[in-house]
This record gives sequence, structure tokens and C-alpha cells, in this order.
Amino acid sequence: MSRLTPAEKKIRRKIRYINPRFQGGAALVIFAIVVAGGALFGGLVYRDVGEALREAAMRGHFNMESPYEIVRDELLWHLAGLSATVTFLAVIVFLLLVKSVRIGVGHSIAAFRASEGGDLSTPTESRGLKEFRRFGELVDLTRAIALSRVAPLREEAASLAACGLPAEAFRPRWEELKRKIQEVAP
Amino acid sequence: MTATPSYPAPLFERGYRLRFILRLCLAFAAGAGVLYASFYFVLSRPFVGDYAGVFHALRNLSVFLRPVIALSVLVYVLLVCVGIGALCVYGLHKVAGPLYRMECVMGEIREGTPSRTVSFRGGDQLEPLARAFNGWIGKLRQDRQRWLSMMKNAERHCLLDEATCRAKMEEALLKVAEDMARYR
Repeated sequence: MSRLTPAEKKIRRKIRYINPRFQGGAALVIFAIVVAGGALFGGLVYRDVGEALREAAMRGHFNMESPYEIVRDELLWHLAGLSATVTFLAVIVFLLLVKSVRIGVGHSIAAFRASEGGDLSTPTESRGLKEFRRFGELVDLTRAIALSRVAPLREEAASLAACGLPAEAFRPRWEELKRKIQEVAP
Repeated sequence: MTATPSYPAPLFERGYRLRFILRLCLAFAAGAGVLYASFYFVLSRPFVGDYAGVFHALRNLSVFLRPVIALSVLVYVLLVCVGIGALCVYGLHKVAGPLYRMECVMGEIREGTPSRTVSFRGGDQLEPLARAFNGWIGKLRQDRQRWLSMMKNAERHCLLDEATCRAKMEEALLKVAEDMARYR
């Protein structure tokens, strides 16, 4: 296994947290669910467990060994409810994120496939998260630049074929066209 | 390109999605475990003393329940958020990394610097995106080679006579222009 230089290690670490809007955004949505779930849990436990303890104190038959025996059922139900709710909502958020990526990236894939067939001008029209709309714009920009390289070459080739220039003027333009064609896809 | 396109290979591996969901569940289960342990620690202490002692212990416990719950929930939220944050950073970099790599390669293409085909790291998602991009660049390079081959083939006729050479060159130029017209 090859050893990484410190510079390479630094780059590799940076790649972990590469897109604050995408990675951080997903984390923030789940944080909000956890905080809301925790607050709701705290409120319900305070209400129900407190009520159970007060009721037990008033009843007067203290045949239990610890307060845990009084509140066990309420506590376990609320914990199960909290876990199930936050897990379910977080999984939904993750699946929505996956769907959003599929929609955003799917349009970019379609744009690349259309480009393979020669269509470099139809917009990608990526939807969904802002990150994927921005990525779609970069895809469109790249395709537009590729088209801006090919279109003048086509005009030059057509005009050179029809211009009827003398050989000494024709040859340099021919060579220049060859050089520019080389640069189409470096 | 308004309809959602179909693609043969999945953008996300099934294993990746399942692993992410499993880790989410583990983070929440661990948080719930800590929350339960903190409540158990506070509430499982046995009653001591006589009837009045137990009564006062129960009354006091219901009074001091609010800070106990607040602290336990705070610990739960902090622990789970740290776990979820780490999971989102480390788990989602398998999606963010390929997008970053694609952006770099597209930047090279735009600047006109020689670039290689896109290749992702092991475990990276969005493989069909790289394949579609490589397919386009590959086709563009293939076309470029064909245009140059047409022009070089025409140049071979220059070994014969000047008129044939010029006719073949003009013929090649028309073919190249016609071929390039595919790009719109």
C-alpha cells in the first residue's frame, strides 16, 4: 500500500467535507427533527411521568422499591415513540434526498447523452436542490463552450471548401483548421 | 429534456442506501439507549426511610424532574446530532465527491486543458453520470479523429497532381462541415 504525503493527506481530508450545502444541509434538516423530537419527548415525559409520580405519592400504598417501577411503562412508551418518530422522519428525509439527487443528476445524464447525439444547446433544466441546479448550469456551460468551438470550425470548413482561394492562401488556412480541430476535445 | 430521464444503472447502490439507513437507525438507537440509561440512573435508586420518607422522595422527585429531563434530552440531542453530522459528512461524501470531481473535469474541458476521462473512487455513487460524461467526451474525440483522418486522407492525394489534391481537400472540407453540422 502506497504511503500518502502530508499534502495528499490534507487533500483527502478536505474531500470528506466537500459540499457544505449538500452534506451540511442534509445534516441540518435531521438536526431539526432530532431537536423537535427531543423537545416533544421532554414535554410529554415531564407531563406523564410527573403525573404518575404525583399520583403515586397521593395514593399512599408504597409497595414499590424505586420510582423507576412507577414510571417504567410511560418512559419506555415515550422512548419507543421518540425513536420510531425521529428514525422514520430521518429515513424519509434521506429518501427524499436520494430522490432529489436522482432527479437533478438524471437531467445532467440526459444532457450528456443528448450531447453524444450532437445536441449541445438544449438546456439541462435540472430541478430539485440548488446544488444540482448549479451543477446543471455547469453542464450547460461546458456543452455551450464545446459548441462554440465546433460551430466556427464548421463555418471555416464550409467557407474554405467554397472560397476558391489560390493554393498559397489555401494551405495556411487548411493547416490552421487542422490545428483548431485538434483543440476541440483536448 | 423536461421529463425525468430513465437510466439503466442505478445512481445509488442499494447497499449504500441500506447502510446509510442502518447507520441512521444505529445513531438513534444509541441516543435512545443513553436517554434511557440517564433516566434509569436517576429513577432506579431505591426508596430509603419510612412512609413519610418515601412520600417526600416522590414529591421531591416530581419537582426536580424538569432539570433531569432537560439535561437528559440535551445530552441525547447533542450525542445524536454529533453522530448524524458525522454520518452526513462521511456518508454523503460518496455523492458530493463525484460531483466535485465532475466539476473539476468539466472546468478543464472548458479551459481547453487536456483532461482524462472521469473515474471515481471505490464506493462512490453516481457512476452513470461519469459514464454519460465519458461517453460524450469519447464521442467528441472520436469525431475529432475522424475529421482529422478525412483531412489527412485528402492530403495523401497531394502526391499526385495539384488539381486532384485541391479537389480532394475541398471534398474533405465539405464532408467535415457536413459532419460537424450534427452538433447544434
